[in-house]
Amino acid sequence: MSTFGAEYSGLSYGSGNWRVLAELMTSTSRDLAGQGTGALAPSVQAAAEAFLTAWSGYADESSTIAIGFADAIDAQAVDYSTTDEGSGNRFTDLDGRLGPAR
Amino acid sequence: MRAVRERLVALVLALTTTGVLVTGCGDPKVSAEQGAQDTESSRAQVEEAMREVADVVAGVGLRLGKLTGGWSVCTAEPPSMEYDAGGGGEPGELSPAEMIAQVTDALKTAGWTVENAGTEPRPYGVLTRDDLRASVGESRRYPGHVTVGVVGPCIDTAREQDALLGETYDVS
Amino acid sequence: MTVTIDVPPSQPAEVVRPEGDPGGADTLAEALHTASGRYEEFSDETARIQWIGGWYGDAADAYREATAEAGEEHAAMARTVERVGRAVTAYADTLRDLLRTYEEQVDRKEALDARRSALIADINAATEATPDVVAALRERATELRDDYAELVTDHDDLQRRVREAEDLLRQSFQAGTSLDRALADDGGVPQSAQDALSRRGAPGSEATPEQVHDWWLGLSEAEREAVVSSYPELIGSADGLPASVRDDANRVVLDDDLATLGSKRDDGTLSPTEERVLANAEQARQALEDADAFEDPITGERPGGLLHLYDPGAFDGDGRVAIGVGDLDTADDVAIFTPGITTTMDDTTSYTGQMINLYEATRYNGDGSSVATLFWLGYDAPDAFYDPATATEGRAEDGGRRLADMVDGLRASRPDDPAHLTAIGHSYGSTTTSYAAGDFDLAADDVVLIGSPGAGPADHADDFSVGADNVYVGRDSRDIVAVLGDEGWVGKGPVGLGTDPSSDDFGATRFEAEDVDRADIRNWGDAHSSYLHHDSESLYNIGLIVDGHGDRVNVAEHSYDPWYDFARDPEWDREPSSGVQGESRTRENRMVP
Repeated sequence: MSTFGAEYSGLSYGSGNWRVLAELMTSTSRDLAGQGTGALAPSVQAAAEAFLTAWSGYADESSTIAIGFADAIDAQAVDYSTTDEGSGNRFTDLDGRLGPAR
Repeated sequence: MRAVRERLVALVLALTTTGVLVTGCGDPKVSAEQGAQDTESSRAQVEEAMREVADVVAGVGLRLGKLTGGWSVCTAEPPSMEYDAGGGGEPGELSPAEMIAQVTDALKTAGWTVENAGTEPRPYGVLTRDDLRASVGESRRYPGHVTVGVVGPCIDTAREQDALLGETYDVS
Repeated sequence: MTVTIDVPPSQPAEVVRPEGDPGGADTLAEALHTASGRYEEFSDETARIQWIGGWYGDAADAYREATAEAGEEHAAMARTVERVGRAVTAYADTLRDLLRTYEEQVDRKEALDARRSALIADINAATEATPDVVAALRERATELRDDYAELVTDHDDLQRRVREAEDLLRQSFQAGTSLDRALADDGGVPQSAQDALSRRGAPGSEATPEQVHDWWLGLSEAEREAVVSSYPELIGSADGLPASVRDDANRVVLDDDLATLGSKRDDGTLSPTEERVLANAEQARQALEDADAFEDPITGERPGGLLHLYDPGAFDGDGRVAIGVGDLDTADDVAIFTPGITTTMDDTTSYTGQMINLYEATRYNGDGSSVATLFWLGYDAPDAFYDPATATEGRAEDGGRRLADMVDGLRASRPDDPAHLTAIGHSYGSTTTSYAAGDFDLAADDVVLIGSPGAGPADHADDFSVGADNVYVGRDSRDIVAVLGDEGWVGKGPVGLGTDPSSDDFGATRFEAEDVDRADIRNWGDAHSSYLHHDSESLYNIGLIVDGHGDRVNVAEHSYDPWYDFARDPEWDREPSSGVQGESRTRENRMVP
């Protein structure tokens, strides 16, 4: 690794988008779970229910994934910020002057 | 390539001089609002005329059943449509041809101008009044019945008026 | 003396109603299409926020790697749930058909039971069993037995189709349920569909239309249902397949687009490209609704709409589509209309309306033969006059090849029952049609060119595959575009797109096509666009040609170009008509008895 850097606003934007996606997938999960299979022939209903249950779960998992990305970005932003702040203090404490003023 | 360029320039010149290029080819000529207003107004005009025509033909003994109307496409690009309304009935004692002739005469008396009338290959009459066209003829779908209709002029529309196609209106 | 007359039992004991509700199945399909749209949004968004501005380094690299993986997986899942959603849509359509058949069978059984009761009553009432009476009663009993037997066979067939439809849907759900299947390239596709598509002659394998037709004939009914619901895009555009099959498949894709993109619009995540695709889909829906609702002017029956080609994202969003009215698989007379420049899917509803006009005119003045008319936008029409493609004829040539292929497909789909087929080209579409007939051996019976700026590669009607006697031309004398073609010994240089087919040198039959409301000067507007307007001379004559009676058109004199002056059009001074029987009447007045 030779270079690194970050803009807080970019990270914040990315994290926000992931949270929107998470909400979208949560809503998808709810929609799928709420679907009835009564309109299908009885011989199909069990397979349809298994499908909807599985896919409702996948959508939940997608939501978790999105939240995971958002949290990781936020944590990264906090880490950068904390490190930057700590480093700032370290530099603030440095006295670069010469002679009696030091 | 040079030939292609020459051909393109010539085509553009030919069409520009006639105003084709300036107006655009297939784009609607009117806004959605204008299209809505004009179609509504044309429909009202045709329906009113159709009801008048129904009264006139009732005077010569042709009782039209339920009057209905609808839109059809005049041109696809630019889009335009026309509204037509009509109805039909049995000619009673008269033959369809006799009734068609009587209806044509009655409409003439009522202020319509006979544009065309004849008996070959089937009896018919075509009349005009302002920008409306009325027609009378024998039904092919219901043999022995005489039908009368009125159609309005082509009205420029926008895509928003596409939804009018396929609708049937009760004109009575 | 006792006479025995064997009255058959009422069979089947019960006409079994297919279980399920098509409307409810449609609702479920819509939910799955919405879910597909959401997975697609997840994948699209992932691609977009993979690169966060100003963030770089190891952490950013790791983030990108993880998001890329998530994006790919969600894209695959979007496709799987989409396929299952389409399977549910197809099931709903099939269930509708099955329920219609069920209702018919219930009616048939009621009628048979009534006949049976009447027979028993007549037997009981018969006091004198003369040989004639006995023979008549026995004959009735035999006919009744045969009719019951036929109903039993049809009922068995119905139940088999019900089982197959249910099996197929169950397999589709199962093929997309586990995570492995959800992420697979063929998730949601039942094995039976995969097997069918791997056979020789399947569409997409560079098979000829004839081979595709044979492939289809070799499939069981269950396999056919499976490939339609699993590969609707492929089946919907496969030349050689029955038009009704293509229609079923394309309607599945259309429903999917409307639901998926509609939900994305509701979510506010529709891209500009998707917005255009959705607009095209909505045009197709509107046009189909109109075509489905249309009633034949003679019988009052609904011939039904037809979605023969549906590819709303093609040609940079202009779309490819073919929509018509009538049954392409059985119609005695088939017309295929090719439009000209500037036409996109945005114009589908209007052109379908014109196909309805053409159907109506053909039937109204026709000989009773059945008719189908199709608007075909299967090529990339130039965008405008100033589009260089307009002048190069390249699009017309490409379109001509595609048109000829499409007609070959139609021919292959009904080898034993060929239709009388008329190819109609308007404006630049007439040049396209000329390429098809001039260079690509168009398998039509008649060709009609209207508002033509030139016949492309053909100098003479004889150059067309249909022969000069079967080439017809309609030109309104005020149509500015139709005078651009070369005419006479000087010609017009590079202005047009070949020879003016209405000129005497070209050798086609010119028919009357003047608009009754024509202007005093040549123009682009009504004069160029009214050839399929009701109660016009042009539509009247085209209807006769489509009906197979080109010999009855009202012939117009050709235009000609004397060496000493500009070209002359004898039609300029003729008074046109509208609504005149035998000249320009093309429809029945509305009537409700």
